[in-house]
Amino acid sequence: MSKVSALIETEALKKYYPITGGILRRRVGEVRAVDGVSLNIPKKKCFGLVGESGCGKTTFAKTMIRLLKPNSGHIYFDVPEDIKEEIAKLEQSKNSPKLKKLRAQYDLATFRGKKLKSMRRKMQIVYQDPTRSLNPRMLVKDIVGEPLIVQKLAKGTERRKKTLEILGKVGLTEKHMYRYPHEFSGGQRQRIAIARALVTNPEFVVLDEPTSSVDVSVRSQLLNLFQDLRKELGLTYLFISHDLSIVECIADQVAVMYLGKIVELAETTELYKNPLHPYSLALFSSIPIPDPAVKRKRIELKGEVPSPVNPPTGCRFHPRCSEVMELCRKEEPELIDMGNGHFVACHLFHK
Amino acid sequence: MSKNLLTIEDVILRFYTYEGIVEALDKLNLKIKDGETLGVVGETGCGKTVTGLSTLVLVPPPGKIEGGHILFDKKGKTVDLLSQDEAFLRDIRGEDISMVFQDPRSALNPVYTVREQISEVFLHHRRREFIEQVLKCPLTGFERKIYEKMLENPESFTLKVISKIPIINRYKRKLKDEISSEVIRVLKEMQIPDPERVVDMYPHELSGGMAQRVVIAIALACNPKLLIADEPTTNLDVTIQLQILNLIRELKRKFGSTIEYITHDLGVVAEMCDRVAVMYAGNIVEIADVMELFKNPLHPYTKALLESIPRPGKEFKSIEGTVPSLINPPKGCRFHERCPYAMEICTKEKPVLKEITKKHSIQCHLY
Repeated sequence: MSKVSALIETEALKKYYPITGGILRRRVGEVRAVDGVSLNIPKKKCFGLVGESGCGKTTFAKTMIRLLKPNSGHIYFDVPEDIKEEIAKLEQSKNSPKLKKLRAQYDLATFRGKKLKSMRRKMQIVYQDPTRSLNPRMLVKDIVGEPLIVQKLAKGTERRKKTLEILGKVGLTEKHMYRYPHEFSGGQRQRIAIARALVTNPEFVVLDEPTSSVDVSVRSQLLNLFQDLRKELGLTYLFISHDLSIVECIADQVAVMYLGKIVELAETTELYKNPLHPYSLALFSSIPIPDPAVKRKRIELKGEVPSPVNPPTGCRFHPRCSEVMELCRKEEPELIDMGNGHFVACHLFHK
Repeated sequence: MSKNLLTIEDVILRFYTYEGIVEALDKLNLKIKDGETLGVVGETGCGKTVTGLSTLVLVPPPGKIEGGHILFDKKGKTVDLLSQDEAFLRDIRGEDISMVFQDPRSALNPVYTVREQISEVFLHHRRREFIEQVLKCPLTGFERKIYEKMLENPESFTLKVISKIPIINRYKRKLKDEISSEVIRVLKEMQIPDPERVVDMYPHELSGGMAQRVVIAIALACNPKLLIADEPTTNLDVTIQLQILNLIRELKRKFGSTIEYITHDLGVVAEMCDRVAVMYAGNIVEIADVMELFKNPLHPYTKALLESIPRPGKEFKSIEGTVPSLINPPKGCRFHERCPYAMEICTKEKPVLKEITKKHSIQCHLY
């Protein structure tokens, strides 16, 4: 896609969850949570991912950092451009032994064991609800220091020093180290979770709806913290949210996801000014604007997101789309370039 | 505008917990006019939900309402809900005032079908009406006798015995069928697709948006005068939120009910409400018309709250400090610790809610 060097790139990533049934627990179907997503997250940028609940945002992020094993597809994390090109070239000639070798060396989707564990140092995640993602029986110093032990990065006094340093960065102090998570407010708990993610000095951080469980005033404190940390530590973010107004403020690039597929992708300002896909249009028009003077036409989507077990044929959005054509029911649209780094998957824009 | 439908006067609500006494509502004053949509906004724990619950006198223990009046205008007569007995309140709830709760999944009972849960409202409030309707249908002699008896003396001992005996108590089906058709009509009004199928579903089979529609259906089954909507769209997606908001707006137009809309989303307030009350730590700090409040916020807290809405291209502003604990709330104005304009008097004396213009009241020493 774009020419900016990517930190992490996925290629036709798929994650299906099996549905088992019968006495033998045989596979009777599958939930197509992520169905062929190709994304490219540039270095030191914040990439926003939006969509309704259940469209596969979290599954995609977890698969991307290999907390889940993808069913197919490739993930390249910080791979030099020339090697990616070589892989692309070799892909044309099938079954080349060199391709296999290169894949085993660079493709994150094939990594296992120690190699995968060492990669996890570079990729971290902050979950939605800090009440549930922090162990209630551990002290803050142990929660934040644990990744250092697991990754064998620091021990003893050094571990303490590093823990303290990272806690200082997220706005907590030494006196907070000997407390349990329940003694903190929601915003502070989320800060602990952020500190835990950042203690191993990662390059890529997934923020999975990190602000949805806190209040408006605390939310802006956290968003400021994210911005500052990104500048200070040179981080790359994948910011997942269903709150579109936050994404508009924090992300450089935004992808809209619907039922396991990317339907639109563009620079933030471009996407919010000029959404093309009918789904994005409806999504953006349904954000309530905190200004009673603004009156506008809003597009109400009928019905709900269909089940990803039996996704509609053709374009997945067609049962709810206002501009549906005959073609949409049969053929699945590809992501096409509309210029200006704006990609959209809709038959309306195919010539 | 017209008269006040509900007047909350100096209500004090305290929760007696092991850690101490939580002063959840501190002499709260609120008026809701007939036919308006009043938004109540504030941060978590500022007392929005308990305001709604106190209106219905449904505050769970260890909470206690200690003082104040809640005056409700019931068909021209003003009654103080706090001095009524439980039987009277039960008649008010659902019939005159009802509430839509935040999380539809925990508001619905998981072991009853949608039909049974909606029927319950009708069985309590409109039982007579339905029995009279059943009597118009062709009935066997035995059934007719029983239904007539139900009209005369619903508490009679024989009826209680008969209703427990299998086979004989089949007469109940006639009433159930009658109510069922009414339930389906209500569901249709909520724009639920295929209501004949949905009535026999259990709450876990419904999606979030559907479950919320069912909860709204229960609340609106008897066309109450006042609907308290407690963050009905917080857990829903924006597209579903829009559907629910449009539905509430349409129902309001149809039935002319008054709505108290509790939320923390200022965007929703701007879209839905006529007037807005801003709450902070158990007090109402500012009430104004929606246009006025967004254009000309006066209270420092309201200003800070409006500034903390993220806008692209600008830095995120936040309110310094955290919400104070209500166990030992700050003396004087409860906001003074976080207020940039705090004065000497703010730490000592609690300000009162003053009317500045006809559309704008504020609780602050600055004015």
